[in-house]
Amino acid sequence: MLLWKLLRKNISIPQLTGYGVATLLGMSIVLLAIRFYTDVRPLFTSDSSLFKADFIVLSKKISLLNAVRSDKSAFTDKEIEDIRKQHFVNELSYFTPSSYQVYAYIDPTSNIPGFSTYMFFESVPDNLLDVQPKDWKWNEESRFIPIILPRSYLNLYNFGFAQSQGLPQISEGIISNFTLQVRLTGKGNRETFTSRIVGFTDRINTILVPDEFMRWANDRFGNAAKPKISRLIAEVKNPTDPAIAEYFAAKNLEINDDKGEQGKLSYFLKILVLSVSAVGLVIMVLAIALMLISINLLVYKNQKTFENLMLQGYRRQQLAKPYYLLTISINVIVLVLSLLIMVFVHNAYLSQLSVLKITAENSDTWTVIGLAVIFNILITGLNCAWINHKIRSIQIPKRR
Amino acid sequence: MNTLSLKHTLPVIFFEAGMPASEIWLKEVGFIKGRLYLITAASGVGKSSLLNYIFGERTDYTGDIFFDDRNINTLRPSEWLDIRQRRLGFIFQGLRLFTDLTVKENIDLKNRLTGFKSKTEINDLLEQTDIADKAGTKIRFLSFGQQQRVAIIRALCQPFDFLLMDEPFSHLDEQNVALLSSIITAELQRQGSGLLITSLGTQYPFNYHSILKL
Repeated sequence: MLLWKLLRKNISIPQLTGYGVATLLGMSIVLLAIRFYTDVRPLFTSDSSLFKADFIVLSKKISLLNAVRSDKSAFTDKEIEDIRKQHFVNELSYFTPSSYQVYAYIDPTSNIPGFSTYMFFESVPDNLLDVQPKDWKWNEESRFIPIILPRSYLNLYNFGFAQSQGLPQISEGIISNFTLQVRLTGKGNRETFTSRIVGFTDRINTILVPDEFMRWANDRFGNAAKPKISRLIAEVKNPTDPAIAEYFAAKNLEINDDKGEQGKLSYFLKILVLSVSAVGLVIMVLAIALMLISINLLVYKNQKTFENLMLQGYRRQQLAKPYYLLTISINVIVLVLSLLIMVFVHNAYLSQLSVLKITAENSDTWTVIGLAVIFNILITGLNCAWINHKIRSIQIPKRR
Repeated sequence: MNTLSLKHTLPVIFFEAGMPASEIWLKEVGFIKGRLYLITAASGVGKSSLLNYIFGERTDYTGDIFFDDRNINTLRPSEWLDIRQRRLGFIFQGLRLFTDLTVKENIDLKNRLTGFKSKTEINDLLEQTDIADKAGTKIRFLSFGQQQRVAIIRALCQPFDFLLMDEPFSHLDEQNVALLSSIITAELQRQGSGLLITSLGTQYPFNYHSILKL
């Protein structure tokens, strides 16, 4: 092509290569960061049990001050209202503690070795439970108190206590068959009930009884006019929202177990992905700047050629076209290579991540490919617009 | 385009400096299609400027230039392209050939845009002007005289109402001038076009309608 023979003059191969390599590098980094993020994100937001935490349990920090006066660790109505108003809280409820004495023992007439203990109960509204055992109901006539125990308690016994003391390990099934006698004392009343462990929870770290029973029992045996609320349970929209950790840290509240850590971890991951993407983007921006400067230089050096071609009757679009094609070719090569790199590296780290049960989902691949294409179109568009702009600046007749 | 007229045109540079009497600058002059005009002048009175103004390459003049009734300073870039492809031919004093392209490529670059001449016609022109054997040679290896012939052939590869020639024969011997003049005359007659040719004083062998002193 004759025009190309004229217009390719002064094209700097090192500059174009530099542009291509830098764009490839930047684009690959950005794509990989996004790919990695989409791969790992399900751990934080999906139903994966690994980090599942739509509920968080809140309590005040125990310090020397409020250790002496237990009412310091209780929440006031105002504090509860304030938490309820936070944008990340969907639903807020509280743990109702038992304000009476609980004494549990195994019926000595049964053939199980004797056992007895003082203990306590707490209750939360049923809708905040992660399990709904079929025996989970209370009515005054049946005199039966269903109990839900944290699974971790059983684990603590099985893997800690039982093993070290040479006692038998107990399965969930076995323990659910033990019948306990529970004696409640308070307000001058003393009554005995039968009880059984009907389920185990992963969510709430306490000995739970039905809310309805708790209200009834507190009324009948309770010593306090109104039970103090020292623990809250909140259903949050996105447990990885860093605002949660910030808010509770500011209010000097403690978030139960590692579920707050998860927010931090997710926040850290976001920061990591953002920083890596930023580095990639900066490289890309520099590459684009290099390309724009190259175009400037090229148009400047070839200005006489452009002018002479325009005097021969060539349209500026005709003159810009070979450069468009060149830019598009380079960017398509960059696109293809960056996708190849992305797939290659992705497969490489996927085997490492398989421990976390992360699998490649095609939908995500398409999202990233789509993003890559959009990036590429934007860059190509910018390059072409700049070429067009520079060539249009050559005018015949020259405007005074 | 049937007439090409100047009304009180003057290069801006002469506006302040002042200049000797002229039959074109600051006058009303009309050039008519089909007629041949010789414009003679000493160096430095604006021969090239005049043709460059008409070709729309420069605008540093006062007064007006019209193509028929259209003032050329109202032409849009796309209209200029059309004019340079189909209305005005121009043989530049500096030739403006692409020195890295061959003779053939330079001519093709124009002819592909216009599709005006056939391959045979171009080859005939190369033969007649005695540069057929140079067809594959890059322009920068040719003498200026040979380059002038290429520029003339290139200019003929398009339709035009007027052909503008800026001292076109400066490096050619009489024999070549006679040859090229006859080739150009033939093309002018075929197209029914007008000619504006500038010269330092030499009267090239054309059948002029009028000779103007710039």
